[in-house]
Amino acid sequence: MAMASNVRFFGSARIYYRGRNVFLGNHLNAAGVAKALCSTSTGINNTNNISSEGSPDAPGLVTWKSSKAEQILVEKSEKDMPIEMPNPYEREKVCCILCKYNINLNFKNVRLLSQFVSPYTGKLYGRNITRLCRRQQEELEQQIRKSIAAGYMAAKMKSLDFLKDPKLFDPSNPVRPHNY
Amino acid sequence: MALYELCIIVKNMPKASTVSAVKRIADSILDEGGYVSKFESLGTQELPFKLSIHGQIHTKGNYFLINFVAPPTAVSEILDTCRREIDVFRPGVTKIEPQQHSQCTLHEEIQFPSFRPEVLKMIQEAKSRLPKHLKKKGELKKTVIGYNPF
Repeated sequence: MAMASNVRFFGSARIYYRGRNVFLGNHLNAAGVAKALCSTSTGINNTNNISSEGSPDAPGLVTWKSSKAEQILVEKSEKDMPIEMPNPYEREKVCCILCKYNINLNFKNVRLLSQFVSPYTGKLYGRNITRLCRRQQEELEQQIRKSIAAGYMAAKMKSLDFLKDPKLFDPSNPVRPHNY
Repeated sequence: MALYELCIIVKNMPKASTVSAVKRIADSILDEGGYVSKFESLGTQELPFKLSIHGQIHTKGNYFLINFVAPPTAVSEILDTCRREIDVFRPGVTKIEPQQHSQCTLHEEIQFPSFRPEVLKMIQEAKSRLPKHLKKKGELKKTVIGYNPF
């Protein structure tokens, strides 16, 4: 009979259940069975014929139906599937300087607004030079207009106090070339 | 009732007169059914450009900020009162709102033009504006094989 091939199979299962008064029919501990499944594959096909609980020969016999074994196999393979996680090799998204540091533009903050204004013409630099995103550039334009209207900022020149401010970008190295 | 900020420049005058000018404006806010919550002075500063208002040229001014709560209908009335004041110029009311930070879209704008979302949008708009005889006809019906063999 297939007893010889099954001995190893049932032997390992028996070891797991040693010391426990468990008479198993179709009720199984999936973990215990999984260990046993790893060692042999022939055992599964032959379990149909094997007697169920209460056999006097081997009190720790593990028995189950083939459908249950399939179920366990499917569960195990599902656990092996790749885990969903964000792309670990994703490049850092390029961010404009104002968005990066969460800076709020205000019409009263004339110094910050003047950093984006040319010291030669007194006009606002374009998006190709300031390297700001579209939304921030529009906000900047709006705030400059507001501050000029409110009498905080000069319209045609950059205040002399702000000429030595740190440069946020290089006007001679724009993204899209300009003629100046 | 919404939170507003009134920024004004008051003429360079002796302290008593500036105080009375600011008080008059605060009274006008109260008349319209508002409450003044904060007075802030940015001091006497040189104006960024010469202002000639009401027949006088000014080079210095006192900058003030007045935070107040008022019904939205009162804002235009308050501004009107400010404009009638001789000693006050450049009145401006802004609504105080919490700043909303949205995602930066610079990485999309840097892309090659044919991949930029704004350019793709423009192309679609142009397609929709084409005359009928040039527009592509609707997609052919799906057949059983999954494609049109003709």
